Formats: sequence, structure tokens, C-alpha cells
Amino acid sequence: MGAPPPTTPTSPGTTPGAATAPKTQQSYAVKLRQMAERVSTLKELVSQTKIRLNLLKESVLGQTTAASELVIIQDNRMGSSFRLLAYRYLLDGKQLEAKSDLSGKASEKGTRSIYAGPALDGVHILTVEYVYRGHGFGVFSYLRGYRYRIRSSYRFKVTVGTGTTVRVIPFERGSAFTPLKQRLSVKYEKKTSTLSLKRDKKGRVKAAGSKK
Amino acid sequence: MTRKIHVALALLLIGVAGRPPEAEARRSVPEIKRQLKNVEGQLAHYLTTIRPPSRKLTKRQRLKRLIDGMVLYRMKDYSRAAIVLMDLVTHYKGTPEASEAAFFLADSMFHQREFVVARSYFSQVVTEGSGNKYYQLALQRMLELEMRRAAVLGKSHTADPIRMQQVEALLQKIQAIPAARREPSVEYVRGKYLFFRNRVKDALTVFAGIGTTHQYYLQAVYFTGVCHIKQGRLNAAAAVYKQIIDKVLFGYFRPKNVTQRRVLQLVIIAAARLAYYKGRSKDIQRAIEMYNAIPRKSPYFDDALYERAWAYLKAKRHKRAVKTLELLQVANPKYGKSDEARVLLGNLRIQTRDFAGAKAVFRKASRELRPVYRTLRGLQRANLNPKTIFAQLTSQNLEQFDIKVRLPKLALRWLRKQPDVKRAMMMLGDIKAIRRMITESYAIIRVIERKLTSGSQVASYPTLAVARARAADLETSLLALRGDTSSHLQQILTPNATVAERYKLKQLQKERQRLERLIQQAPKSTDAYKKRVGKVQKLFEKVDSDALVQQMRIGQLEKMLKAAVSYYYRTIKTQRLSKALLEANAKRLRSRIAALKSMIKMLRGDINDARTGVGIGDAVMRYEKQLRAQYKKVLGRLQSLAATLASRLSGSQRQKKAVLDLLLARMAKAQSNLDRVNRRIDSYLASKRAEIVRVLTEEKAKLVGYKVQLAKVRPESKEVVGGVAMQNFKKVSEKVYQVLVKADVGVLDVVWAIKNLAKGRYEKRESTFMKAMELLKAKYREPRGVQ
Repeated sequence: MGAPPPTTPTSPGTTPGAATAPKTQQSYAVKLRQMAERVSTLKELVSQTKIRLNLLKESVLGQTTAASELVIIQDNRMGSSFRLLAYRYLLDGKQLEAKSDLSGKASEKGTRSIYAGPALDGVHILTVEYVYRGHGFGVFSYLRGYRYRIRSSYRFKVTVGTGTTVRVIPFERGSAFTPLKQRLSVKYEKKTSTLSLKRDKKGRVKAAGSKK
Repeated sequence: MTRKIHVALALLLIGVAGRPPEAEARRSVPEIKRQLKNVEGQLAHYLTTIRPPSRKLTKRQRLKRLIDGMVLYRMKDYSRAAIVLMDLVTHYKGTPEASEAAFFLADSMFHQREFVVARSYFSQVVTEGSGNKYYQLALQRMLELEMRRAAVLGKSHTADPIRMQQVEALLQKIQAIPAARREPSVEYVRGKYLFFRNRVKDALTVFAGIGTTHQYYLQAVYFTGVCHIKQGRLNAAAAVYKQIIDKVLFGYFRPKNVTQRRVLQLVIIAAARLAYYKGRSKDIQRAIEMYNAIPRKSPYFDDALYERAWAYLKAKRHKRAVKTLELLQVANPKYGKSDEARVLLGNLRIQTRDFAGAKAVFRKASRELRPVYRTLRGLQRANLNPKTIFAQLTSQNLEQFDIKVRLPKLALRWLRKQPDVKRAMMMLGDIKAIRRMITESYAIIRVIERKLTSGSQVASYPTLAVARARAADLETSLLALRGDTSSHLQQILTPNATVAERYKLKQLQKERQRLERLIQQAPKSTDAYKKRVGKVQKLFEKVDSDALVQQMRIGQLEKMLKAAVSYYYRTIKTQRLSKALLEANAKRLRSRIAALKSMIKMLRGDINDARTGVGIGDAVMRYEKQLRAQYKKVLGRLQSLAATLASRLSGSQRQKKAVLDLLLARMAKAQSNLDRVNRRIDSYLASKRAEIVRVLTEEKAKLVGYKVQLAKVRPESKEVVGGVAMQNFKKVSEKVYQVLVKADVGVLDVVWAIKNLAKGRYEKRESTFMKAMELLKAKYREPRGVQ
């Protein structure tokens, strides 16, 4: 089904040996199918070997393969004198998320999930960059012309078999007498939890059998 | 390896240097006796309790492992999930954890596109029967696998009668489950499978049985319509779709999630297509309304727009059709049918007499496609080598293939969209994955072999590691007791010794004290060993985190270089630096950065290796063992000296010496027991090691075989994929030709339309003029006629 066919002329048979083309095409298609099957079998065999080797490695090193989950949350607690224009999150030098929203929508208060997924166990460095704009009304409307950039890094450790949550909190420190530039600050909160699973009424893990 | 030892020794020396040497502890003989008894007791206990290491997990540990596997599965880290789950499935058969793990293992394999293994584990779950919580889901997955197989093999998938019998058995198993207990997804997949097997009637029965409250109700409705269409009952299909659309419109049914909303959109588009094919003006109007109902964010929005334009065309609302296609151009310039849409837009502009616009559209299309077509024709005539197409498809190093003519980007894009080419690319992806897995497997083998040769293998077996640490601790205690006994012995011997012998005794005492000081630094209990290991691990972590900082800095340098080069090329007109000089500098810097990157990678690898090597039996413990051996030698020398001095002793001194000799003999026995403990640990380790080496040799041999197979497959794949691409290349060439002809004809159409319009206008004016002339003639003839 679909749109009606066009009415313009079609290509004349310019290709030499066009009559034999379907046969050749079929033979290539058959070859491809057979080969794909061979490749698929080989892939499964190699994968099985890799799994067995990994299990062997576990027993030799005395280490177990276990999940380490990392969650990074942005909790913007900056005061009303600033509007967040852009941010960037890097984990071990690789960008996790970046947003530049000059209309100031990025300045929404509250939490925002930056990353939730697997992480290798060991030490990691989270680098954050924020660009803020000053904000004020009336006689203070000149503040809107100011731009402030903060860059901060946080070193933390992910332990195997645990869930680690890092909450990044940009906030305003000091008092009304603190110069604007010095008020911008970032702090981090880290929580570690043991991994668990949610089960449904039948006692099955919820993620099971999700259709592709 | 040596680097690891150095690092460990350095760390130990830091610890040694930080502590003041302790004074020589001297115990009384009764105290030595009491403590020796204690050591002997502990040794006897160890001799009876040491067992070969077993990696059998307790129920709690199995559950923890299952959770790990499932969490990895949930995080879509299927390859690691498979490792954890495979362990449970293969080593703990019959346990509830293994039974649960089997389904997740199969599903992990399924997601990794390892369908044969996945099928075997799903069937394992199915064999367990309905008692398994995942029984129905496994049945569902097995049917899905069959559908995949059918999609790949086409009609020939039914050629294997045994397999078909197995599938029938699966279907019967699903039917045997009471309808009320049947999983929604299982029922839906069963219907879908029957549909793909061309058992449309059976499929219709299954889909009809899926009620409105069913999770897959909308999908079932969609497939019911498709079944009707397949049977040629278009009105019935339209009625089915109308019914559900009305239900949604009147609020009797509300899609609950994104999937349902998408399926509803598919239903609407299908209904619109049916209405379009009916062709009556009210049907066309209805089709337009339905196409309008597809929201902007829908993945089917582009298709709906394109088809809506055709519907407007059929309704002769050309201006609307033009607006729709213009909107499509803006909404998605890379739309799959954009070239067809472009030609249609040109034709529609002719209809709306926007000749300039039409001409612009056709000319642009013609201008863009002509060089593409010429190149393609040239390539066809020059008997293009399939390997050339292969190289370009996979964007390989083109110089390697001596390619002079490159395929146009547009042609490559269209080529990659061909189903056969897509399948071929998928196979190439699999070949790439095989290569990667083989490389990773060899890396794992290297790690295992390094560990086996490092000598710290005992740390991998917690029970043996504890026993070894305890043995070391007991040996230290025993040596301390022996040292004290030797001190008492030396006290008796010294008065009867000659000057030379006294000097020798003093030297031995000094050496003994030095070694004692060093030995005393060793931990006194298993917990102390663990603490020390933790401390060293922390130091390694710090070193690794510093290395990570350096790695990030190198990454930044690379980015800076990239940015600088990019800036240069953007502002090349204003740059004084020559291009050659910049490229030479950039190349030099790139190679330096690459060297730094590989260096830091290696360093981090070494740190990681050294960290994993820390533990019981590590380099520090081996050093301590050496110290104990040296100490034993010193004590041995003292005892042999005592034997030579024994004849010079007085009666009371001899009595004292006899007591001490007895103690020393007991200590020697204890030492021999201790050696037995260590030998037993060593023998267990050796048997484990032999087992590991056996498996490793087997897997290595297998890997060699796989490498050979891969080496055979790779050149063949180039030919087959190239050949498949070549066949499809002709199709693409034809498609380019068709669109080009349409564009050229369009330009002519525009000219004809302008000419026709001008001719029409001229004829109209001429006829108006003739009419006016006739009128004038009549007007002036009349009075004359009257006269």
C-alpha cells in the first residue's frame, strides 16, 4: 500500500546481461543467507568461549562480575539572582550531557537526571560546567548583562555491586553582602546503596520479557 | 611483574620506615611452654580442617549473584549479565536461582542476537514446565525467534519438518494454558506468528479473542484489519478500523502509553489508506481528515504528510497538496521518499500555474541527480569491482583498494537502505563483533596467565587465603618462641664460649635481632592482613585516580588540537601559516598525544594488575616468607654452635639446656606440621592451577580454530557483500535514472504548460477579438442594410 504510482516513464533496459540478473541476484542472496548463518554460529561460539574465559578469570582473580550502577542528579538550588543558561557534565573527560539554552529554560529549579546507568568500579572524576546569567528587576536589571562561569570537579569511587548516587548541587553561598561572583558555588552529595530488584505480583523481576 | 614487586616493596618500606624498632621480647621458659602448647593445638586443628577450595556459593551468595546478573540485565549490559547468569545456570543446576537465571541468560543472549544459544536456554525454561515463573515468557520468546527465522529464511523456513513439529508443540503448549492465565503478550505473539505463517484464519481467531482490556488490544485490532486485507476483504478491514477510531473519538477507549498511541496512529494511517483506495470523494475527504490526525511528533508524521498530499491531489485540491509537500520539505528534508515528493511538488506547482516554482524544483532535482547518474553509469560500464563497493559501503581505507572513482553520497545512502544490503551490513557487524570478542578473549587469557605466574593465586580462594595467613601468623609466633628459646640457650652457652665463639654468638644475635625487628612488622592476625591489604589498595586507588587526571588532560589536549586545526581551516583565507606546515605540526602532535595515551593506558593497566595482585600470597608476603627463612637459618646456626659447646657445660647448665632442647625439638615438630599445612595448601593450589590450565588450553585451542574460520570468512564476506551491493547498486542506478527522467520531463512539462497557457490566452484573445470584430461588422452593416 502507499501512494499511487507515478506516471512518468521508467528506465530503459540499459544494463547489459539484464536477463541473467535475477538469477545472479538470487545466488548472491542465497550466499549471503548461508554466510550470515555461518557467521552467526561462529559469533555464538566465540561468545561462549569469552563467557567461559570470563568465568575462569573470575575464579583465578577471585573477583566476581557484579553490577555497579551510577546515578548523577543535578539539583539546582541557585537563588533568584541567577539564571542557568548552559551546563555540561563530563565523566572521566567524556561528555555525559550538555545543554545550552539561552532563553533560560535550563534554569528550572529542582532535580534533573543527568545519567543513570552502569559504571565501572573504581575512581571516577565528574566535571561540571555551568554558565549563569545575572537576574534582576528595575534598577537591578543591569544584572542581566552579566555572565558567570563555574567549573568544578568531584572525585568519587564506585564500588562493585553497589548503586552510587551523586547529587550535584549548584547553590548560592554567602549573604546579601557577598559579591555576586563569589556567591556561585557547587557542592556534591554522594550516597551508596545496595542493589535490589523490584518484583511484580507473580514474583518476577519487572524488567523481564519486555518486548523489543 | 617486577614492577609490581617493586611497587609492593616500596609500599612495605614506607610502612617499615614509619615504625620504631621494637625491643626484643624475652619470655620465660614456662611462658614459652604455654604458648608453644597453644601453637601446637592450633596447628593440629588446621591439619584436620583444611579442605580443598570449593567455589560453591551459599544460598545467600547465589541470590546476591542473581541480583547482580539481573541488575546488569536491567541496565542492558547483556554481555556481563550473561557471564554472571551463566555461572548460576551451569554450576548450580536445580537451584531456584539457576532456574530464574536461565530465562535472563537466554534473554541476554536474545538481545545480543545470539539466537541459537538463546533458544536452547529458553527451551530449558520451557522444559521446566509451567512451574517456572518465566515459562510463558520463554514460550513467547521462542515464537519470536521463529518469526525472526521466518523473516530471514523466507518460505524455506518451513523446510525443516522437525523444527516445524517443535513449533507446533510450542503452540500447543500455549493453547494448553487456561485462557484466563495466559499472558497478554504470549497470546498476541501467537496470533502474530500464525499470521506470518499465513494461517490467517487461525490468526483472526486469536486476535478476535483479545478483549479491550487486554494489553495488546490495539495491536490485535491492527492485525485483524491486516488479516482482512490479506483475505481481500477491504470493507471488513475498514469497518474494524472505523470501529476502534470511533471508540477512541467517543472516549470509550483511551490509549494508555506511548506504544498504544503509536499503534493507534498506525491504525489511523491504515484506515486512511483504505479510504484513499476506495476513491470516492467522501472517502478521500475522510482519508485527508485521518491523515490530519497524525500528530507532529509521531514517527509516522512524514508518511502521513506525503500520503495526504496524494489525497489532496486526488481530491483536486492542488494548492493544499503543494502546501503539504512544502511542509514535508521543512519538517524532514531527509525523508526517505524526498525525491519522489520533490517531483510530485513540481508537478503540482504546474497544476497551480506556479511555473517558476515548478521549474526551480525540477531544475534543482535535475542538477543534483545528473552528475550522480553519470557517475553511476560510468561505474557500471567500467565493470565495477564488488570489493570497491564493499570498501565504500564500509568506509574502509579507500587507498588500500586503489579506488579512483567514488560512489556518490546519495547513491551510497540509497544503497544502504536496500533490505539485502542492510542484512549484509548486519553480517559485517557480526564479523566485527567476532574480531573484537577474539581480541578480548586473548586479553583475558593474558590476565589469567599473568596471575598464574605471579604466585599470589592463593588470594583467589578465601578459605585457603585465610589458612595461609594464619599459617604465616603461626610461623611468626613459632619463630618468636624459637628466638626466645635461643636467647635462653645463648645465655647458658656464652660463659663457656671462647672469644671467637663469643664473637660468633654476638654476630648471630645481631643478625637475629635485625630479622626479628623486620618480622615483627608482619601482621599478627588474619584481620591485620586484611587491613594491610586495604591500606595498599587505597594507595593504588590514589595512584590510579592521579593517572585518570592525566588521562583526562591528554584527552583535553587532543580536543584542543582538533579545535585548532578546525579553526585554521575555517579561517584559512586569513591564515599566514602554510597548510603543509600546519599539517606537519598537527601530525607530530597527534603522534605524541597517541603515544601519551597508550602510555597512560598501559600505566593504568599495570596499576590495575598490581592492585589485583595485592592480597594473601602477594609480593609483600613472599618477602616476609624470605625473612622467616633467613631467621630459621640463623637459629639453625645457633643450635649447631650450641651442640659444639655442649661438652663444656656444667651439670646444672646441661639440665637447663636439655629442657631448652626439648622445647626446640617440639618447635621443630611444630614447624614440620606447619610445613605440612603449607604443602597441603600448595597441593590444593596446584590441582586448581592444573584445572585452570586445562580449561585455558582448551579455550585457547578453540580460539585458534575460530581465528582460522574468521580468516576464511572475511575475504568471502567482502565478495558476497560486494556482490549483493552490486546487484542493489543497479536498482539504485535505475531509481536515480527514473527520478532524473521525471525531473527532466517535469522541466519540459513546465515549458509545455507555459506554451499551452500562452496559446490558450492567445486563442482566447483572438476569439474575443474576432467576436468584437464580428460585432463591429454587424453594427456597421446594419444601418447600411437599412439604407
